[in-house]
Amino acid sequence: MLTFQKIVILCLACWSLATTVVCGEFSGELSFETRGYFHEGAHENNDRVDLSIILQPEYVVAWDEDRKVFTFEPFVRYSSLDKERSHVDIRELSFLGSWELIELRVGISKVFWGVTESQHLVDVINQTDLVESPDGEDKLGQPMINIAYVNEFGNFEIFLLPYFRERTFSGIDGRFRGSPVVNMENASYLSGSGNNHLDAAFRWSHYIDELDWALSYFEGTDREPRLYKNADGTALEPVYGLARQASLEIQYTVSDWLLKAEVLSKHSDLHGNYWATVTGFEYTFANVHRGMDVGFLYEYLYDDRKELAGSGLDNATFLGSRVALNDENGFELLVGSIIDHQTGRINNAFLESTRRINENWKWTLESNFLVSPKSGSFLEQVKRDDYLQASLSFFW
Amino acid sequence: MKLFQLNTILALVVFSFSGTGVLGQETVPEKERGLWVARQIDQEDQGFVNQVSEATMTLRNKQGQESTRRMTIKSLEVDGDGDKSLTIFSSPRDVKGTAFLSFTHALEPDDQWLFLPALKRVKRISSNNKSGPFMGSEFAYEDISSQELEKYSYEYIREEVVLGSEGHVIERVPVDPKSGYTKQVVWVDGANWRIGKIEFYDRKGEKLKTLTFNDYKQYPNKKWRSNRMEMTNHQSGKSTQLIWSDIKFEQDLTERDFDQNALKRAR
Repeated sequence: MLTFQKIVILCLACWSLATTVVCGEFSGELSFETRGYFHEGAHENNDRVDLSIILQPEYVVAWDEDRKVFTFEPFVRYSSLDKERSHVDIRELSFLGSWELIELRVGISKVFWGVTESQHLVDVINQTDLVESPDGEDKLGQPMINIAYVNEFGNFEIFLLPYFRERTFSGIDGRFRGSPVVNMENASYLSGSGNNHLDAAFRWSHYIDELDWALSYFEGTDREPRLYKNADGTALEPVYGLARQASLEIQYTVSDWLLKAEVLSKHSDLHGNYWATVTGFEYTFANVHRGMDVGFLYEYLYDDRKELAGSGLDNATFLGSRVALNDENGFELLVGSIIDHQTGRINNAFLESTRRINENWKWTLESNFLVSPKSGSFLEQVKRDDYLQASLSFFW
Repeated sequence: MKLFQLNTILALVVFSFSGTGVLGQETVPEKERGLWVARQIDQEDQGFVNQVSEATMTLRNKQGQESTRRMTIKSLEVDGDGDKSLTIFSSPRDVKGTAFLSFTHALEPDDQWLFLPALKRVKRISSNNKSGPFMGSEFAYEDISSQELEKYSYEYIREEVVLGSEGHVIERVPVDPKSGYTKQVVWVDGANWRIGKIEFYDRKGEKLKTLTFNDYKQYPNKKWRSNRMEMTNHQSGKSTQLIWSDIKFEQDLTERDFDQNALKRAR
């Protein structure tokens, strides 16, 4: 039986062999993060301060004009609030190699699919590390073999994913959870092979002039579990089924416009058959004053399961604005909100801002307000979890 | 506009067959002399095949405070089109691993992609923002992108000694209305066609910046490269020094080292 530990040991062995031959580069990031919640939680998760330390070192060995790259990138978070949020992962432990028409990636790695900003609908290879951030942008390292054939008609890729990573969920003291708490220990699978089901994907991506697109197909363990109450009703237990999905991403880049669409058609054991889309644009007023860029984002989110989607994003509009000063400190600000079409109200609103202090230090501010989430959605269960977060990061 | 450009280029191609050097220079009609000079600079640079170098930018504000950016820049000469380039940042440390891929075209918009290492995301970006600052420096994107001949119209100003030899001063006007400049005045030496200085005039027609090219060095493939460029902004009082080091030509690089896969591998 393949276990995550065995995969890690195997990859580490290969990696240490390679690093004895060539010398690598050691870099990384250490962050101190303070997150303050404005209210006590709705599910007896009453602590309002979460102090975290996050360490993410990276060791890279590259040779042959960067055509061969070994990367090792572990990840550790200690959270004072939630012992489930305190966790360790291997984000990257992989070999990436390029030959004339072939690209090969073997090991634990991360792959991003998509073009939109408000939701990453088609991004399916890696499991979401949900305890990291409620926006779902953080991902767990995924064991994979990824082969790309590159020619004048684009990139043709195959992914073989031999081991499944389970989604992380907040613990009893943590925020961004419903009630009762999710017990990750008791996850189960509809497939007889459990977390050893061999998942696979195919992808074709290409561009012509200003148009970039990708068509993908995935078949395997559904990244999104269904949560069922256990027998005595004290916990939710994740159940993972199988799913097939086809998706399209397209971006048209013309003058100051980025026109984007992601479309997903999915057949899932546990979530039924449905289709969903995120379609929109980003327009940038470039260099309006002393190099400052001001961008506006609009995206329409639709999920044909309607309320059953549970996300509260089944028929909604995302509006956002991005300001980049392009100064020596790289100041950036992103504000956004998601408005539900049915209720006509703001689901949530968020803010993210960063500024460099010097060569090695940087601060980040982040905030999320659950203004009036749609009733029956997951967001409604976490509506008391508005927060403001400040972090200070050291990069070396 | 395009037709006119094509005609002048054709005229120059024909001309360049009829001989170069001082004799050729005298036969150039006065109104085409500016373009002729630009053509010489362009031809002088042709045949570099590819180039890999390390660049260090030092940004200095009015108060004299400094900050640094370090990057590796790889570029590839493409027959019949603009150059391809891959820029990989190593400093400031928070942007380490960020990489920028650009396919330059003479008159069509450039194709550009950015690799964001935190999300492992390749993002197609708009190349429309030519006048914006590159990494907060005094260099605009259009200053550091490949200087294709067709991007400007040219006018001859005068003869002047540049970098110690008899040279020329020409004026070039960007064809693209999105450019941040109304004109650039370029000083070129007539012996090796090296640029000594460029003055940039903003949209209001006022002098904005001066770029000087220093410490020229000739490499084994006969190409001259300035190893220290100084950009001074006269309006803001800020300046940026760009130091080039470890310049290598004719490396083992192909088009495959300048695609989106290479962007993901960039270190």
